[in-house]
Amino acid sequence: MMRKYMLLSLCLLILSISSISFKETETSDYTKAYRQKLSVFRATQEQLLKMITIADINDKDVVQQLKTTIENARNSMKSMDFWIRYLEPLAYKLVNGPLRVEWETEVFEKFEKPYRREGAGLTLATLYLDEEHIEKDTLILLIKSSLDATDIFAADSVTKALATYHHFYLCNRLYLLNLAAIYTTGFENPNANRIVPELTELLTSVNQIYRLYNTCFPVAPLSREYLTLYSNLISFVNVQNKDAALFDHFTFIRDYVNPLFAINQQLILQYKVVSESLADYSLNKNATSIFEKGLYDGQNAKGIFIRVNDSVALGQIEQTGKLLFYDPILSGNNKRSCASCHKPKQYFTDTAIRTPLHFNRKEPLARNAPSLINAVYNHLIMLDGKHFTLQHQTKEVINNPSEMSCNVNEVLAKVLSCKEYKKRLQKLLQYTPQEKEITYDHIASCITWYYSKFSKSYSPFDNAINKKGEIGAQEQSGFNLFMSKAQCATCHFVPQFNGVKPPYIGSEFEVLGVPADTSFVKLSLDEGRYIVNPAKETRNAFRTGSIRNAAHTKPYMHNGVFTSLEQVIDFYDAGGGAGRGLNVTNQTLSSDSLNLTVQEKKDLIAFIKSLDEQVFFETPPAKLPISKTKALNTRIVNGTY
Amino acid sequence: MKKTITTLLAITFAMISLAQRNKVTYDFPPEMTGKIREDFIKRWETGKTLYGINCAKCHNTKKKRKTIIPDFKPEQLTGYALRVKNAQHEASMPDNQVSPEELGLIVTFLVYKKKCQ
Repeated sequence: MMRKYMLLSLCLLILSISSISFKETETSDYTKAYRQKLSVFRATQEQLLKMITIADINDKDVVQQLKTTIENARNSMKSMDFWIRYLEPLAYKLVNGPLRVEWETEVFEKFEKPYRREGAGLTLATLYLDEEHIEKDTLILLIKSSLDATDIFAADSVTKALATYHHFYLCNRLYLLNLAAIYTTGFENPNANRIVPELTELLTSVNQIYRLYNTCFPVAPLSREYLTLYSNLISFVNVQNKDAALFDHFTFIRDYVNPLFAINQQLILQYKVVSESLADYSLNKNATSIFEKGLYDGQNAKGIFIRVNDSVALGQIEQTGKLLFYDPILSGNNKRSCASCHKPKQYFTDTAIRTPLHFNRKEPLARNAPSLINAVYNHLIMLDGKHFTLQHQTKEVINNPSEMSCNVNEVLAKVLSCKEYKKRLQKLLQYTPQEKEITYDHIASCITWYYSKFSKSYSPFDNAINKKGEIGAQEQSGFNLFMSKAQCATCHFVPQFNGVKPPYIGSEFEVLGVPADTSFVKLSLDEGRYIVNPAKETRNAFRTGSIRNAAHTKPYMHNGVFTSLEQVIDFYDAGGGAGRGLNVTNQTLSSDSLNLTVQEKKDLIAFIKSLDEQVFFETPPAKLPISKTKALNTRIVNGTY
Repeated sequence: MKKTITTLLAITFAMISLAQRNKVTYDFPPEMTGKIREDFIKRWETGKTLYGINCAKCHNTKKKRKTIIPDFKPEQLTGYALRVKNAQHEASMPDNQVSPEELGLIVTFLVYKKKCQ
């Protein structure tokens, strides 16, 4: 009897041990593959470093050899790009950074000073080899930094994420977003001829990761539907032209990348995937398309009313906001409203003048009034990124002596002197239990909530890429140019076509060399981002705006120097200010000509016009609330200037 | 009907906050005086209300009918990193539920709250 028990328990013990070890081998196979790829990547970089040390970098043939070796290292990096880009974004900048120095304020860092983040690695090394004077030490440093950063990816703190399935769907989400936004645009591939071949290799290596993942994590597999569609995507790319300028980006995204994204999103919900990364800070798990306006949270349009979801209450906030938006009571002289410069029917900008008038009505202001439509999809607000919430921006413009010039203490007193405002705001107080009385924030939040409702519309392009409509061949070819030869998409990223790139946690700034006027004699004197964050890289840098509705939001650039889309495209085609012979030492745009043909420019404009959103504009309020202060009752809807 | 519920909720809320008012007090450093102290008390009170709305449901405990707001460790009060440090926070307190500014006020409240022990 005793022996029988012992035998039985022994059997059980063996069984349990074997099942544990069986399980371990499965997940460790996955980690093993990661480690193997990492050691290959390391070895290719070591080989490269050795080569550079002994190379004669003034010899053109040697430089060519170096480039080939870099390509080799790039391929080994690309084979694990899927993981490393997501798992350790800061280390990734050192192996494949797009710029030597980037100043960053990501959404979760917005209360901190901008960070100076250095970039190094393979893309920068290739670009460096093309420079006129190259120094071996600099080249060595670029690769050495990359090699050091490679070790970070081997740290337990990074690899521990590989033990569960959660990381996989989050890595995959970022991967799919980048397939749509940067992998096909040459954003980080200086050699245009290598874009499509590198993409093919990337797609194939990720396919291997998918297969391995499904074997190792049977609890949360990729669906058959996903894998089939992914195979079709590879077949599609295989028959595409190897010239990136002829690649059909539109079909690639519409028929493959976006549907794959939808399935991945659904699996994220189904498997209750949990993120532990700040990189996922603003991405929305419920979005079912890359081209859905709720893909990521940019700004909190509700402000102080953040937790209000009741449609009746939101309607009340909106109506109060509408009255305030058109009411010059918010200005120091009661003659200027928000609508004075952000003219609602002109897509919330002013299309008639370069820059709005100063409060004193004498001189013009330095900068163009940006459209408020889609402002909500920026992380930093204003052309210099001075503000990080819409409400700060609203309050600052009201108080700014050169814009609306209203004293902080006066705003509230004047608004509350109107019985209707007082009643409305008092009623809204119930939704903000943290505030005992009506504050300036209530006013600002009503305004931002009101105008942000115009950012929810879609364009014919969105409908076409979401398979809910169609656009013509010319628009499609314009989009394909936008994504390739015209190099627009390397700064105006899919899907908002603004400066927010996956994972959509920061706003980018660019130095374009915008002239003071169309004679191109001198640069605009506006220092831009430098005023907020002085550094040599930020001088004359401006936040990248959205292309959406651009056909309706002239004039263009921070100073409104261009009045037509043709002028803007010609400016980029010529290589920005530097391309036109201006001295711009820190231009982030290539000064080489894009060599766009007349037809190509027309196609680009056709595409831009397909981004016209179907916005329904409203008529202004018939009258404004009456104030107890009689003098205030002479003010008129919209203001006078 | 809706109005009655809202009023009832408001009354309940007011009662709860009144009841709590005398129970929790702050623990500001003695060097903090005058206007700064007043401003802090204001921020602290706002933070307390926001804590009540966003955090109390999961974090508060009851001891003999008394509501206890736990003492959080400094390493738990990490600002925005709070959102990912606790796996549940990703779903329970996303950016569109608690703004980063509000998170700051909540943390201020928790840091200066008089400790239970």
